[in-house]
Parts: sequence; structure tokens; C-alpha cells
Amino acid sequence: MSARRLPRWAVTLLTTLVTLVVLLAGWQLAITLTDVSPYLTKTPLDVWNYLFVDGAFDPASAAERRAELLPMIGVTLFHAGVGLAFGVSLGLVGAVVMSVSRTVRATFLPIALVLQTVPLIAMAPVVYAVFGSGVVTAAVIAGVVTFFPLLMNVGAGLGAAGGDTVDLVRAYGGGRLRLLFSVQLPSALPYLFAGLKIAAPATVSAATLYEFLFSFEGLGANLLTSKSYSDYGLLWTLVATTIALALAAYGLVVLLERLVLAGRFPPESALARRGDSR
Amino acid sequence: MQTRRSALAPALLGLGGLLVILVVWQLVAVFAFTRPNGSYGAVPPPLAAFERVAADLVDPAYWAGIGATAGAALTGYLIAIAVALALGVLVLLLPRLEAFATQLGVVAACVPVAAISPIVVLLSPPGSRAVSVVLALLAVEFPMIIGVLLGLRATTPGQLDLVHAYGGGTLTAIRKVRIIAAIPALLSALKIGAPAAFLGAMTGEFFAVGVDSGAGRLLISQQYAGDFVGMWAIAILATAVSALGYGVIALAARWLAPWTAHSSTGGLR
Repeated sequence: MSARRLPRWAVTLLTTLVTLVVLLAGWQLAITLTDVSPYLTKTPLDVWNYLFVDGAFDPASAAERRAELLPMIGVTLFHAGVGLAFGVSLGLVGAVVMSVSRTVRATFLPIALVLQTVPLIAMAPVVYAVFGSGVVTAAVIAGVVTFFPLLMNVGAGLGAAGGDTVDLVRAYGGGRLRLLFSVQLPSALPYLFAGLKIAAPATVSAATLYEFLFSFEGLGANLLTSKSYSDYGLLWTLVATTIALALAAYGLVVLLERLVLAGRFPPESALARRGDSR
Repeated sequence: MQTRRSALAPALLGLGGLLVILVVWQLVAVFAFTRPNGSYGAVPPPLAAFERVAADLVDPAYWAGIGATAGAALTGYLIAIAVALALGVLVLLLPRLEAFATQLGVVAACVPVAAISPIVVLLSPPGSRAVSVVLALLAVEFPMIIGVLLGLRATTPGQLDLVHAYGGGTLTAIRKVRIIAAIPALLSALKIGAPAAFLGAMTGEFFAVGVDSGAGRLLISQQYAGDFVGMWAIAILATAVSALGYGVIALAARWLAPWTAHSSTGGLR
């Protein structure tokens, strides 16, 4: 270890950059070193050309191609955002209700554990049959993948308030609500972010899956159509964009976590270690 | 008596919860989703769905389909284990790579299936189950990497000092201490991964071209036919197969490494 240690955020940023470079280089090399068809497969450089270099693909102007891409991203972000809001609110309410009432918890927690293993791909057609094509179906499908991580993580967080703090609130005559708002919810914050780290990229994935299966708009649907029109420049650009969007959602949660939790809680590693020993 | 009652109460409440769900399911099915002519809509009543599950279970086509999907899932699962172990060896040699290994896992977990599937289909021959294998691999990779890394960290410095004090080298330490200390975390990752792999493989069949058997394919054909009872039956079957995968590994773990049976509460998440 060097004597002058970099701050934690710098280490994270550096590792992220290294990971991205390794993945992009791996993608580029896998295609240039093997004899796969350059018509079917595009490299990261091709995607760059598609987005920013005039004349490389059809339509000729790169600005025009970007202008076609933006509304697709907008639609997917809308679907994912509505689903995330829907799933997070339900998950929070569910976790609080289960924390307040032990009966509700014992009644529905086992079922929630079983229900979260029901395959999304198996339920999606049923959701579609019930709600039809539209933002409601997108929200339900994206909400399902958000709800369970939030319910489980925030539920664990509400139960993680220290016994001393709980006793303190009781000793000063605080009631159930006071305990919830002053102790339990703040102490559940790190768990909320742990849940969001799983949920945020998953909603992007679920939203594009919905679009792919049932809709004619958004990144997911265009992934399908660009492939059937053999527009491989667009296809690979959409693939890169969709993956980048999911990774950005994850990164955004990490950033928010750092900003919100800075200085309020022991460092994440200390928290994780305490969790291990239990 | 007191302790027995308190142990029994949650089980009873859990059973009550199941009953509530079944009753609500039945009411929704009958009052909201039964057509005027008496046939079932998008939500069939539970009994009809379970009757169909029973009928499916004696149909050899279903066994063949589930077997085909499970085969692809197993392939992806094994590749994911191999990759995670290879990364583990790298981290063992170069501890600084740990953050990099974690991030590779995060990327695998974040990649949207609708994005990766079209290009896998594009690059694989028609009739190939490569999409199913890749989706199973991606679904399992993150828990596997985390399991391997947690396993590597499970050895306490004291245990290593003991090996070194008795003249053991790094290899002896790996062989006698580190591998054994890593087993609980590895097993819990293997358990979490089993259901995820099956669901990943099933999802892959929605994208595959020229593949006409598998649990996902059965679901698609029932979707085209508008056979909602059949769709619910497949969903129930898929959940059961996933749960079975988890259970088989949990049993194998108990048999192979009995001392992990009590420490496996981490399997919940």
C-alpha cells in the first residue's frame, strides 16, 4: 500500500474507468481478432461513428441519427421512471406496514418470499393480458422488479435500529410513530440505497423487456425492429445505449448514496463487516 | 407450552396469509376475469391452474421442455462458476483486483436482457440455445463473484498465522484453511444462483430463433393460443423448478458440508 492513499471516491472512479476500458477493449478485440462478419458485428468505434461521424451509416447525417435515438431513450426512461416510482412507493409502504404490525409481517412475508421467485417473463404476458399495451403495463412490469428488493432491504433496515436507541425513545415517552420517524426510517437509509442499487438498473431492464415484448416504442422495441430491418449500426448503438443507461442508473444511486449518507453513518465496509459477523 | 405456542403462531399466520391470497385470487378470477360464457380470462381461479399443473406433470412434452431449459441453465451456471473461480484465483494472486472483479459482477447484473439477447441471437446459428446460456450466465455471475470474494475474505489472519507458524507455505494455507473457510459463502451463492439460472434460460427462449422446445417456448405458444390457464400453470411449474434447484443444492450442501447448515441464513438475499 502506498503511504499517500487516494480518497475512496477517487479509487471507485478509477476502478470504474479501468473496468469500462477493459470491457470496451475486450469488445473491440473480440471482433477485430476473430473473423466474424463486420456487416453483422459492430465495434465500440463503429458505435462512436454511428453517433458522431457523418456519412458512416444511414441516414447520412450523424445529428439526424442522434435525433432519432433521443425520443427512444426518452420513452424508455419514462417507462423505467414510472415503474421505479411505483415499485419504490409500494415497497416502502409494505416495509413500514410489516414493521409496524407483527401479524401482517408473519402473514405475508413468507408469501412475498415465494412470490419474488415467480419468473417475470412468465408473469409479463398475464400483466399484458390484464392491462393491455401502455404505460400501466410498463409500470407494473418494471414495478415488480423494484418492489421486492425494496421491501426486503427496507424491511431489514427498519428492524436494524439499535436496541439502545429504541429504549431511549420509549424512556422519553415516544410512541410508535415517533420511533418510526425518528429512529427506524433514518437507520433504514443505507438499506434503502442497497435496495435501490438492485432496483434501478433492473427497472431499465424490465422497461426495455416490456417494450421488446409488447410495444412499438422505446429502446426495447427498436432493438427488435432494427434487427429485423438488418440495420446493424443502429442495433449495436441501441445495445450500447441500453446497457449504458442501466449502468448509469446504478451509478446514479451510488452517487446519491455517497451524497446523502456522507458523514452520517459509519463507512459502508464497517457496516458490511458488522452484518457478516451476525 | 409457552415456547411451543410462540413457535407455532408464525406458521399458522403464514398459512393464513396463503389462504387470504388464494381466496382473493379466487374472487378476482371469478368476479373480474370470468367471461359471460363461463370461460376463464387472464386470471383463472387457483384450482383450475393447479389442475392444469397436475395434467402438465404427466405430459412428456412438458418434461422434455423443462429438461431442455434446465440443460441450458446448467451450462450457463457452470460457466458462471468457472468465471467466478478464475476471478477468485486472480484476486488471490493480486488482491488489488478485488474492486475490479466486483464491478465486472455489477455490470453482468445490470446488463438488460433485451439489449444483450438480440446480439447473441445475431451471432449464434439458428436453433442454438446460446441466448439461454448467456442469460443464465449473466443472472448468476454477480452472486457467484460476490460469493467467491466473501469466501476469500472468510479466513481470519489468526488462522493463516497458525499455518505459517507451523511452517506451512501459502499453498498449504490455501489448501488447508482458505478453501474450507470459503465453502459457506460459496454454497450460499450456489443456492441463490440456481433459480436465477433457470429463469434466465427461460427468458432466453423468448429471444432465441429456431428453438422450438423449452419451458419458455411452451409459454409463448400458450400466449399465442390465449390459453391463460396454461400460462399460469407454466408460471407455477417454473417457480417450482426454481425452488427445486435451490432445495437440491441446499440438501447437497448439508450433506457435503454439514457445518454450514446453520450459518446459511445469508441465503435469503
